[in-house]
Amino acid sequence: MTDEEQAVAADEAETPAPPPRAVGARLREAREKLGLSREEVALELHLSATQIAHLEQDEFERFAAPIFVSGYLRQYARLLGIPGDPLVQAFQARGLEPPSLQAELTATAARPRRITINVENWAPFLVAAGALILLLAWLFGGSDTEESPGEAATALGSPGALDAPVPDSLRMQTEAAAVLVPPETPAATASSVPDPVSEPRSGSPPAGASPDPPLPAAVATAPAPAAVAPAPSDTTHRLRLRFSADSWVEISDGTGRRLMFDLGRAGQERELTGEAPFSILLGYAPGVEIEYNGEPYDVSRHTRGKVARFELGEP
Amino acid sequence: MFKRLRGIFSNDLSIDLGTANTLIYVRGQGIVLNEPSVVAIRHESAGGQRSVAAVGAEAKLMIGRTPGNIKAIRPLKDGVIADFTVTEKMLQHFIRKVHENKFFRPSPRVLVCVPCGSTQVERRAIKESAAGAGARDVYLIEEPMAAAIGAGMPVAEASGSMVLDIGGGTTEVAVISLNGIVYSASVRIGGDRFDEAIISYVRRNYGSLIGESTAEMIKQKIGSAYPGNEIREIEVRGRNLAEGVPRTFTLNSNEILEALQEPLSGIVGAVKTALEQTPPELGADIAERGMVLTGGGALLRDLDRLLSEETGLPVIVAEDPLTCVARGGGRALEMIDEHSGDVFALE
Repeated sequence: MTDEEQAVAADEAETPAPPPRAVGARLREAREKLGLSREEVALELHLSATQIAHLEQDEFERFAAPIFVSGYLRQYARLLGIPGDPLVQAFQARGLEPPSLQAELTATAARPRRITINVENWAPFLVAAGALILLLAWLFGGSDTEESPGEAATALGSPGALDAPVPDSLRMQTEAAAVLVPPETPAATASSVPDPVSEPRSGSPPAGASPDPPLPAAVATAPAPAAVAPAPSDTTHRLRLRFSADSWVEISDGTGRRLMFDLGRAGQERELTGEAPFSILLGYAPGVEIEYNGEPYDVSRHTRGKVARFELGEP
Repeated sequence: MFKRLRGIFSNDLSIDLGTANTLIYVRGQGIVLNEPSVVAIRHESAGGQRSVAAVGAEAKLMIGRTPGNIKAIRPLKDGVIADFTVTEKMLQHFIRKVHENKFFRPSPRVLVCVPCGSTQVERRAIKESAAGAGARDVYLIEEPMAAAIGAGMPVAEASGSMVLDIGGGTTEVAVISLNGIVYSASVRIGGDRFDEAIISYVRRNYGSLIGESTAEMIKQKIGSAYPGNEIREIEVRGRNLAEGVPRTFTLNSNEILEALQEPLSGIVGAVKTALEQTPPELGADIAERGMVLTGGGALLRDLDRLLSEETGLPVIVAEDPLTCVARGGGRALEMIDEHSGDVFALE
């Protein structure tokens, strides 16, 4: 087939009116020119004579799917020695849809939906939701956030200075102890400006007891022994350790804060304060004497082997 | 709901993880990636630190041309994973490539095609490998099913459709009816075996050694499965085994036809066995319509004629046979989306 004929075929493909006859008619012409009968062609292509007739009469809907038709057209064209592509293009221009997929072969075949929950998939959203809640709490937190002792303490403790420096200095002191508090302090401070003294709900005892502003924070970061001196409140307790031999010590207080995580050297003395109850681990119990609020405490009944692990004090 | 939210940031993919080529079809975009399944691994030191030097087309260029510390390997053999970690790296690379310019780490739902002859262990390996590469959900579908859907065969009808998918490593033949596979068989003959046959033919008859890439090029240019009227020739360079120096010689299509006889007869045998095993009603449908060829092997010249002569059935080459499986997988993924279950998928 020459270029012109191909161009004609392309034209036919574009204008819908004449083409339907064109594909089959062209095949028939070529077949007759070669002097072949439909049966002979059918034998060559392993198709039936009826199928050949359908092809030549453009009755493509009779075939199961368009893919078969284009395949047959190509093979037929190859047998006749004419290019198959224009024929296939002309056929495809008719726009027959490939068979649709059907999920349910019968109406009742619907399958139950499986529900799976994957923690990994949810994690980012939980984190995002948490961040959002924190943000909202910071924005609208205002007057009703006194539940946290740290905030209440700040609100009371800085009556005159409302500006940024105070929370900043607090932040430096409380660094490790309370990460979440600093961002919220300005709001709490601001909200409690009008009547700092008449804020009687300041429920937190340590704040109420101490007149010194940075003190509560200092207490919170414990290791500094100086902070212990002024009036220990009812939940703050003292713990004195005297080492007669080297011993590993792990002590955390009732709030879960780690007070000591260190090797105590023979001859040393350590004093710790925090909220009861303390959870204590002594690596070499015989080498440690403990005083709890000034009274000696016998660790031997908690000792198993050389190691003592126990809780001390009532909450 | 969260799954859907997350899905907004990544596209659903259908992956044809083939021995020779990996194709990725993205919903609404079509085939977006078609690269050889080759990974070049660089060995950092004697200690055994390995890193990926190149993936895909770049890595394929390196096959047979690498220095000592780089190794270009094909992580899949016979349609299944031969090297788990490298396959995972390759998938990771491809999935990321498809999701270019995305701020979020892609976590698409992925449908992977597996050979129907694959074992549970092999399927699990493919599933885990895709999950390790960042997929959120992994669905599996049998390759011939995907190929038939991609070719546009009426798989849902209560009539037999026969599909022959000739891939790089395996050839799969299957009879499909009512969305299910009635019969399927997989033979480990594919494009790679054709190449090997050509290599050994050249060594035997010309005393010369040629590489895999050259053999593939010969197959694509002048290979044929059935004696034709015109004889095509090609000039090839290979190392002469006796003299030890590169020599140029000419091959013609009849010689390649002769070289390919053995793998071809394996495929013909598989098809004949399939026809023998097919229930008679479905066999009648197949005899009326014929079978459809898909996969890269279908591009071998006159393969349809060979099969047609051998079986006495009409044989049709699908449009764009290389991408049939990936496209079919894409359509199956849409079905899974609409119907919430795995319609065609396994497990």
